[in-house]
Amino acid sequence: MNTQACAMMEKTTGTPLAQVYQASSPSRVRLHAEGLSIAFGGQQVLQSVNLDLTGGQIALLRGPNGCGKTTLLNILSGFIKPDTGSARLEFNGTRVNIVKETPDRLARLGLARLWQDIRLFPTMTVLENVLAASPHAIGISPAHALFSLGKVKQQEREFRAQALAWLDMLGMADRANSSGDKLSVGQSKRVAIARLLQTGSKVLLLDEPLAGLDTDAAAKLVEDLNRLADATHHAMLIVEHNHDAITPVCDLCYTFAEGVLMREDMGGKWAC
Amino acid sequence: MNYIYHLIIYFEIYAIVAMSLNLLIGYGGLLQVAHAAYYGIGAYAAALVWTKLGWGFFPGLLGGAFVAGVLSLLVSLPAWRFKGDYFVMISIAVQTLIYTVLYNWTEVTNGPFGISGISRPVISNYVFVTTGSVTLLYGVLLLGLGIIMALLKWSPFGRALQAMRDDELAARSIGIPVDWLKLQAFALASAMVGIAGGLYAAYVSYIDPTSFSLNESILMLSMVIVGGTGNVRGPLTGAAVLILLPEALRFLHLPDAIAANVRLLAYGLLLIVMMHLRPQGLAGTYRYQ
Amino acid sequence: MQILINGFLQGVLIGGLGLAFALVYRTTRVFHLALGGLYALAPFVLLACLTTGLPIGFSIGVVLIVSILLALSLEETIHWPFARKRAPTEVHLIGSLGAYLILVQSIALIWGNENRVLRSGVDTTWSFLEITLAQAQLLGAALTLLAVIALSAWLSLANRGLELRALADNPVLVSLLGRNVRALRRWVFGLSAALAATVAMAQAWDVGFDPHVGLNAVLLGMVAMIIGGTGSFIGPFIGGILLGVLRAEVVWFGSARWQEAVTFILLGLFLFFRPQGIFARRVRLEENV
Repeated sequence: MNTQACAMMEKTTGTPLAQVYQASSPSRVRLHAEGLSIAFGGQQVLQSVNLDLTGGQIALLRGPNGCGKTTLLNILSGFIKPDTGSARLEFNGTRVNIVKETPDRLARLGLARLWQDIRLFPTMTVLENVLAASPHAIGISPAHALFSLGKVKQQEREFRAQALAWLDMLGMADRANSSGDKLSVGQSKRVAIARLLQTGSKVLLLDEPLAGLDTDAAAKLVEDLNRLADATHHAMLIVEHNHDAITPVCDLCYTFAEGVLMREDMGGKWAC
Repeated sequence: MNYIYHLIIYFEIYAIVAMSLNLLIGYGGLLQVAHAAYYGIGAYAAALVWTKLGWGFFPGLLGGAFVAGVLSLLVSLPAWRFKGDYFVMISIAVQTLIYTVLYNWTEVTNGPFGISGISRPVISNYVFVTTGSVTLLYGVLLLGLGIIMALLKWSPFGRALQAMRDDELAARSIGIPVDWLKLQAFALASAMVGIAGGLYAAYVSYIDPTSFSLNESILMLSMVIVGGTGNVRGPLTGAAVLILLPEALRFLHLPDAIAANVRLLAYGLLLIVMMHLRPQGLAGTYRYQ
Repeated sequence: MQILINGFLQGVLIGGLGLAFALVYRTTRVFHLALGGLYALAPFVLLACLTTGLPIGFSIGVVLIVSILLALSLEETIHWPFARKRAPTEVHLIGSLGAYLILVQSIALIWGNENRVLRSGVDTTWSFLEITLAQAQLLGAALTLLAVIALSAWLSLANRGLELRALADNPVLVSLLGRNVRALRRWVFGLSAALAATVAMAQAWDVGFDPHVGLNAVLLGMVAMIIGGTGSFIGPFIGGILLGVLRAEVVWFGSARWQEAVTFILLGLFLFFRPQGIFARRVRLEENV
């Protein structure tokens, strides 16, 4: 993260939010999947897929179009259930069974995903889009929204600072008040990533984050994601066609071939 | 002058109805046609509290709001699994079911004979007997509820609702508790329209099931679509149009017998024209994406 | 046994309407509320024809033509323009609602709100094996059954019919293959109107009619579609028969008051435990998300 963002973050110390981004978090998060299989309409899309990812690691997921990469992300983020197999999220000694959870609960527990088709909220501004992802907002309960105005406003101020910091890191802070449906693909993508980061999730599943970005913007984004992984031990699973941009920073490489996933360690800091 | 007060009172009641429906449709994207049923539940519950239990004005209103809010589970739970057309179908079913109960559970609701003898509001021994005083009282309540709506709209709750409305899948993926949100939205909206029902009962002093039918729900939906949703002006405009349209028709010397039909016909036309030319309604901001 | 037969006869009518509703829903995803308006109109046109002295066969023909033409105009002015703009389902639904209001209120303005009958006097009855059946009931059910069989045969055998089934299963593919989707949609709206009009006339011949029967009828058709499953065309018809039989049993064992409640409880049970209906078809996961 850049120094300005770090400075903004320091201003909000004392809230649980800040601890999430502290560089010195104790244990690392882990995403582990075993034997995931699913078939659609007679076609076996995933065949006994295994996957293991720890905090601080960046994994590239690649394979031909339509081979099941997005399906795997859908399963890992709780949007669809596999036919067989298991997947779990581990952090702070807790184990969460992904297959049994709803997607929103997983996002609150620390696993969030980026959509290939971006999916910003079209009637909200860029800033509101990011703010919508603020974790554990007490104002989300109407009772609190009406009767705890002071606390809600205080929390909103913190969320706002955090959101602007993420937007700044991604170069979109000056467009904070633009409408969500009036951005270019590259800009929308960056806002979507900021929104993802705002959730505070440590496990990030990114579906084609670089599509629509020019070479420089893509390189900068990859660099930022890498620093994030180093500084705060985010675990990232990245589906991407632009292999060249990602391979310099990725620790693992998963390749899809006919529903089966093959794993390659790329050297780097966390090679197993 | 009394007649003007009468119109204003109806405007105030329907403005509350419109605001509550706006919470569901405008902020939450939850199109449904069961609202009149909850209007009816609020009216009946309040009327029973007043006539059978003899309790005060506000306890009656709150009783109506509470019962309506709890029964909103009939629509909010199905909303977990069903969207769009299917959900509208279910809301039609719930509306008809509740209407059937109101009509047939004669032991409690008196069936088609309704409940009569509902008195005007009484607060601390002051009886709001004149239409002028009722206008003032209901105006204050409308203002209060309006402020609550505004607070909710700009709160994280309102933001989460709008996110859910825009893209439910994306909202889930960033941790927004969509299912829980639906429960809250329906409970709030139903409680609010339940209050409107109580206000209606206290003003007209006699209620029967025919005021709370599917046709009434359709009228409420039309009111909100024509007026517009997504902000405060839209619902208010919708309520104003609803109240003023029959008056305008009267100017055209249309006999009262067919006025109701002409009004609904006009709404039918307006709905189609609006969807073509101005989907956000006359004064709203939200249009279907 | 009598109850069973009565229920079956009524069920054939409900099934016919379910098929008419499903015909439009499966192929265009339009929630054809306006079908209720067409349903309500048919007996009135029939009565008008008969009172001007036209023979019965000719009158029925006029009714069918009027219904088909109206349905086609709805498609041309509301649903096709919205479909081209890729409007969300809510917009179609509101448009259809507007059309329903226009149709029903027009009927009320022209002919009044009262209940009417198509024939006078006591009906002839047929008895065998302790079962007594009214001629009107039998005729109506037979006519509807014939129409349904003819339609099913056409769907299975005629080229257009097969194209229609393809459209229901995979709209994108059908348009990609160059088939004229617009023409197919017109066929769908026309056929469903003709079928609905037939059912309406059958029911009106038996028990009479008024401008407001349409909504309840469409509701039953919709429930029949859900029970029978949206994956086929014949499913809704069977669902309708089942619904008719169950309703008749409830009237017998319980009370007529709660007949409507049973319909919706059944709807609720199916939606929660078997939303794909009795005749389920394996649906792609993507369609459900």
